[in-house]
Amino acid sequence: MINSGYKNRHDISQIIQSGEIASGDIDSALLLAKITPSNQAWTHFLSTLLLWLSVIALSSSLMFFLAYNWDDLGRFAKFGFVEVFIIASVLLYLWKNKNSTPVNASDSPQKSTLISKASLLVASLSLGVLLAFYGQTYQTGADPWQLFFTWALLIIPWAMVAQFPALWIIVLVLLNTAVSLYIETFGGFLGGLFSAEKNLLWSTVGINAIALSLWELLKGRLSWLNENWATRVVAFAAGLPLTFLVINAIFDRHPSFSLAYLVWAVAMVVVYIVYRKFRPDLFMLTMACLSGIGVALSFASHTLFEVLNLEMGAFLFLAILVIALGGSAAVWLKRIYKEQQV
Amino acid sequence: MNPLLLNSLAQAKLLKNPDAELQEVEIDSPWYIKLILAFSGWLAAIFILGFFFTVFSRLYKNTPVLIIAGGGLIAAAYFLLKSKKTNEFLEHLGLASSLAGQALLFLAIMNVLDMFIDGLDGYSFWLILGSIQLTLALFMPNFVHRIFSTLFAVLSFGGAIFYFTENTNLIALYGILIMLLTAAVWLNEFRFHKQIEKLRAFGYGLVLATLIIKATTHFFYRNSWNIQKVKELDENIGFQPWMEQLLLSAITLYVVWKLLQKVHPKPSQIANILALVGVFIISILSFQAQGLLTGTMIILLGFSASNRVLLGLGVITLLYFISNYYYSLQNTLLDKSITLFMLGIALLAGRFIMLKLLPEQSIEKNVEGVKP
Repeated sequence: MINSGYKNRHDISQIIQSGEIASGDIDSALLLAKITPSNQAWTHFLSTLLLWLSVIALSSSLMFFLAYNWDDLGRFAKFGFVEVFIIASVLLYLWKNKNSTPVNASDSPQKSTLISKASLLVASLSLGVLLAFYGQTYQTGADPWQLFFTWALLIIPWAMVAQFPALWIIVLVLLNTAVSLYIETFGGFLGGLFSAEKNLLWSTVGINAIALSLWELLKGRLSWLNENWATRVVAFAAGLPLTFLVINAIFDRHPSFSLAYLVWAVAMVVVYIVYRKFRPDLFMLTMACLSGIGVALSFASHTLFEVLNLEMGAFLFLAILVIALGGSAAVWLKRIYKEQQV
Repeated sequence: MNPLLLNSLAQAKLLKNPDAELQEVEIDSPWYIKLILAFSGWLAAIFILGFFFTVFSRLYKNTPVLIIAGGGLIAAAYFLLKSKKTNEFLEHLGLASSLAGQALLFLAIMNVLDMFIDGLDGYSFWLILGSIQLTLALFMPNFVHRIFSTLFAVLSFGGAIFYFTENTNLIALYGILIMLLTAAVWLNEFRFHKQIEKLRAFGYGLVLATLIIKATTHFFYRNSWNIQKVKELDENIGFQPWMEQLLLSAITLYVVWKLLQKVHPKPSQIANILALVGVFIISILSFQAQGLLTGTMIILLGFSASNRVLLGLGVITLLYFISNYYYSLQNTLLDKSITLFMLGIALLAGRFIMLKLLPEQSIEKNVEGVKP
């Protein structure tokens, strides 16, 4: 749907800035480079925009109407509304999916089934509403983690059918939520080995690292998994708690060897090898750099302030260190970026 | 530089000197690399401040030292950022130094106000802060710095107005003015070839400021536990929410009219009039759902210049205000439901009429890259 003006924007800006285009010709140049959209691009964009806006307005209107009358609705009507909504979404999926079977083998099935995917996404989210409402109405006595766990399990088949990365991310979010609620209730799987807080961080690292590895391994076989944003989100969800664990270990009052150091070091090496050599991804390398800077700064400030008891010099040293580390990281990343552009 | 683009510009005789070798001014790095720059800039600024305060432990009371040190750091930042050979290290150092300098200057301002006015005077503080930020936005030769200085300048002046008048309605009027300025900047983004970078930085700062002002005034309204008091205030000042919406509609109509002039080939007179009437009807219908019009306008401005970041900001605004609308206390859920229903139907009708008049042609053929 988007025209190629987005790609030309940077270049045309530089050409205009260099003064190579007379001021009277700038508008024509922008039209030629498709920065100013054509008549047809406008029509297409506006029809999509108006469609989405009206869908949002009408569905919010329905939601508000239900919310207004919620107390007056019987239990049966409430279940009915939510269930009809789920069934309608699934039917829409089936209808759209049938209509959008690609005519030529070369047509991308991904583009054509946007509405069908969105409808399964809506159905999956509404299923959660149904489960929550069921739990509330019949007071099943189940723990909150069970709700999220059941929800995740029940939508896995839809996620498999939809071939839609966003839906898998939702499954992953639900699993993460279920595990963290479980730990909140029972304190964790490994008994007294770690504190509950560390258990939570470790399990988040574990779940998301496994998910990331599976995702990367399956990417080659299933083309629809090739969505950079999704792997980036999962990697972020694994890397952030791991970095916290290391920083936690550095500032621990009773210093001892922590598993976190080892896991973090291995993770950094793996990220470097995988995303520099096999699947070049600058975002992943950037996140690793940020994690490295965070850990290095924590280590330096712990040593300077708490071990050596320095103050004045420590601040100056830290300021120089952060500029040096951030600067080198940016220079290195930009060099890789240039390499990738060629 | 895309050779196809240069080629087609040369063929259309739009280049003054088609044989000139165009040098890349700079490679635009992706946002996450800029994030590393910003992140370490902020951290370094905090450490530099820590250093200053440990060296002069009673520094924060010593106004002349604060002014000299703060001014010195900002001046150093200016020369670092101005240098043509600026590399990542120097850019970092420049941003960090400017931030630390600004923090010291603000402490100095608070001290001075304490001395002369006996207590913190909100109005003068914000006014001085705004003027400093405005100066920085105009003269600091760095894109990221300009965005944030513009944002803080606009917000500080807003703060000054609020403290001076103690009225949220005037802030809403101020928000409208900023919105008009935002639209004007983005509509003229490419007009002055030497100022493109500057205007763009102002544009982003202004959009962010518009959203923050809109969200805050909205928040005041939504959370007024005393609706009666808000109404009294409205009557006192004479500037009512419907006037705000009317002005906003006028700005949106202006933007749409300007955009219609840019479209090529020129749409027919009837299409122009219908587009304007449609926008007016939709703006009237979205009267209660504050913020929808603002979001839509940012989306239109973003699309009209193929600006993905602006487009994304518009979509976020729209979603934020729609979800906010649910909690607005001024209307019952039934009223809101009816408004949204009418709006949805009007939008669908608008789409239907548009597609009748201008059938979607084979768009796909026209969206592939620039062809020589």
